[in-house]
Amino acid sequence: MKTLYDIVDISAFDNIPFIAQKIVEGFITGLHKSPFHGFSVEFAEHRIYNPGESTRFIDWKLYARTEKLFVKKFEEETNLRAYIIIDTSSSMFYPTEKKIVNKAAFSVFSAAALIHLLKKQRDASSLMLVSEKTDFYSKPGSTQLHINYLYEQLYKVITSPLPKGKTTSLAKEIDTYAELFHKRSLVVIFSDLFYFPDPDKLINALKHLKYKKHEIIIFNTIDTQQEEELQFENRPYLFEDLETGEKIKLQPHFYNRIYKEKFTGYKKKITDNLSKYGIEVVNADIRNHFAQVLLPFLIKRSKLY
Amino acid sequence: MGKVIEVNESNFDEVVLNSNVPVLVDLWAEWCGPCKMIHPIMNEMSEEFEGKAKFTSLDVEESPSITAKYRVRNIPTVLFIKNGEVVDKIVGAVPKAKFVEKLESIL
Repeated sequence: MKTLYDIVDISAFDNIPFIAQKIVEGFITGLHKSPFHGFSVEFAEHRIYNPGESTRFIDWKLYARTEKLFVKKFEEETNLRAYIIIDTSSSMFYPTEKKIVNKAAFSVFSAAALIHLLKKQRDASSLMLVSEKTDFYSKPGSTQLHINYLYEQLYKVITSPLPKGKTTSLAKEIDTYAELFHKRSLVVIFSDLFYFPDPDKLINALKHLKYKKHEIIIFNTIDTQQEEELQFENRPYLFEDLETGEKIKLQPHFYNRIYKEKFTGYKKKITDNLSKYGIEVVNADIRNHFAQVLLPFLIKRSKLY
Repeated sequence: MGKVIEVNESNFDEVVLNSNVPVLVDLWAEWCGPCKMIHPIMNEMSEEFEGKAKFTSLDVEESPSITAKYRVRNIPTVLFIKNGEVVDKIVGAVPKAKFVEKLESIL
């Protein structure tokens, strides 16, 4: 099972398609049962051969056994459209010490792995990158050209300089774009859900998506150790809000308990509210392996068809 | 327990055409791989929709006249028959949700 830390060690970490493949392969081999079972609709039907048409797709094995001429027809239609939305506001680039060990990079590699999985299943993927505005949006597609284009956009996210002071307009943008999404799609969101001061806006936007009959899964990307448990060395730190620039000097040790209480309360409020509407929030700790994203995704996917 | 009824030329009229609930007819052949993906779906649905709809399977080799009557050139094909008339059909191996959706729309 791969983690973000393993990827840092891969010298070609800039090769997103390669990494996506590695993440998925490592995950699939670890499963007992193939998650693709039942999806494989490549060869979907037999049709009586019409004299005169191309002999290319005749099922010759069948002819050898039964002397019947039938043509194999393949399923090309896309089964599902998945919209992957990544919050790229400044807070997602925490922790800032190492270039690709942050929440945004975790989301990027997870998204790349999901796109790779979707492609394997002939499903279409769409990508949307949102900070203060929608920085990038593409319609769903499943061709290799389209996928490469999405990988390129993902690559830009992790290689551009750290965006400072970018807040998130996730709620507003989801509200606007919800109208463009095809009905009954799968919407996958990567965000730290830091939506101060009013998380209700985000909840309402997500309710809007649900109303449009989409299935929604939110990966709450987080550095649990530092952001949830405030585990730092026992010395004073200067904390800087990446979005507002506000600075605060304190010794984290003294505030561990109260911070954790407040943080858990905030998270619980969002999660409880969303679960009422059947919207799933999955914790995605960036220090943990990618299976925590792939497995819930596949479970959700299998519920759709 | 619901179950899938095997039909052929001799009992087709009685079981399918004279039924007072909608009937799904799964047309298949022994040598057809994709047809085998449909059978478990029909089995499951026959339990879920017990009493509301009837599920039947027809071997196209055994009953060529029925296949010809409904102009079935592709298998697997599932015909949705209501009051003796074909109201809808699904061709090819598709996910269960599609069958459920179509059936619910004609119930």
